[in-house]
Amino acid sequence: MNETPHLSPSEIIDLYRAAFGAGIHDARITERGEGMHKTKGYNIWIRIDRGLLRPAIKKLMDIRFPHFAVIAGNDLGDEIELLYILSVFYGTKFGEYMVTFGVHLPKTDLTVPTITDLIPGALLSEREKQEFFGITVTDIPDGRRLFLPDDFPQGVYPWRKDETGIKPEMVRDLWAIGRPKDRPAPPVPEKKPVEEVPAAEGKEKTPGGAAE
Amino acid sequence: MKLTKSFNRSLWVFHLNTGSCNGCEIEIVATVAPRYDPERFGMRLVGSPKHADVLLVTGPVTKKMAQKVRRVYAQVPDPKVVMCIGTCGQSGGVFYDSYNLDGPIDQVLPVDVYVPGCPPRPEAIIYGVVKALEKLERLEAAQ
Repeated sequence: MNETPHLSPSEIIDLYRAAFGAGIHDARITERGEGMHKTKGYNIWIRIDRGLLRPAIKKLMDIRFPHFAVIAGNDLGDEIELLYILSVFYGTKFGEYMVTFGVHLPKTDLTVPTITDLIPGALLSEREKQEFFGITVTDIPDGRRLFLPDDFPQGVYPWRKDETGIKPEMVRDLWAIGRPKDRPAPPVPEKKPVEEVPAAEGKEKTPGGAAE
Repeated sequence: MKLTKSFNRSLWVFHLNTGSCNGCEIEIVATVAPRYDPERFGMRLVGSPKHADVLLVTGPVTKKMAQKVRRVYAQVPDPKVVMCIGTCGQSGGVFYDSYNLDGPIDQVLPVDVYVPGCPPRPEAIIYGVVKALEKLERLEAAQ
């Protein structure tokens, strides 16, 4: 395991700018407060070319092997944004950074290379992105569906906001269904509630009991 | 309803999540925790439907879960009572516009007691269990 010394967030971004140059479209650092004392923590956001995704993750593995959290996705209209969320320098108190690589895929060419040969645990997240966004992860070792039922229609992608998204007729309005009417009657009828006997009159006491 | 010093027997409950957001689960755990302590009446959550008298079902039934719900229901021995905990098993709740539901629960199982709420308070769940107990005693008397 490579033991690069602990770097600051801006040093990480400088490394990436030196290595990839114009392939980096956007790089920024956001701060967040951690814990009761709001100790500074940092998120690093780097938007890169699709072709640089695998080299960028390899570079992060050279710095320190990252934790892979999840791949997030977002339908932006003409393109789909994938966010590869990783963290680096874990195990150092308040020294762990979240590193997010953003990749924009135009809807005319929704393919992205797999990273499962680098980080095998990314497989489930990649399968999820395939079925929910309709993207194609090239060279994915197992491209089956993950969450959607097997009889789910082809060509419908639940997280898309365009015409391939969920059709209104697929929504089953549970609130409009009502109670079932074909059930057998209960075997024993419910008992009638016991009628309450009204309290005997004339025994009310005035509050305090001192009224004359 | 008898509800004397002790019931006929203790009431064992199996809890089944069919796609709930876990809010109802938190309230069910709060119900069985020592603050309300229904275990002094012998009510407890059990780990297998084969040991249960009451089936607590939470969540709208997702498509993948519907068949499993029926299997769990078939494993509960008679006489049994099904309780639907939470709004989403009755009308969809926060999942009202989901594309992946086979619910509400009473389309899948015969439900005896409905406890509405998002999530219902522990008092409401206990009241529902008492109603279930009344029904269970009636069912047993009829057998």
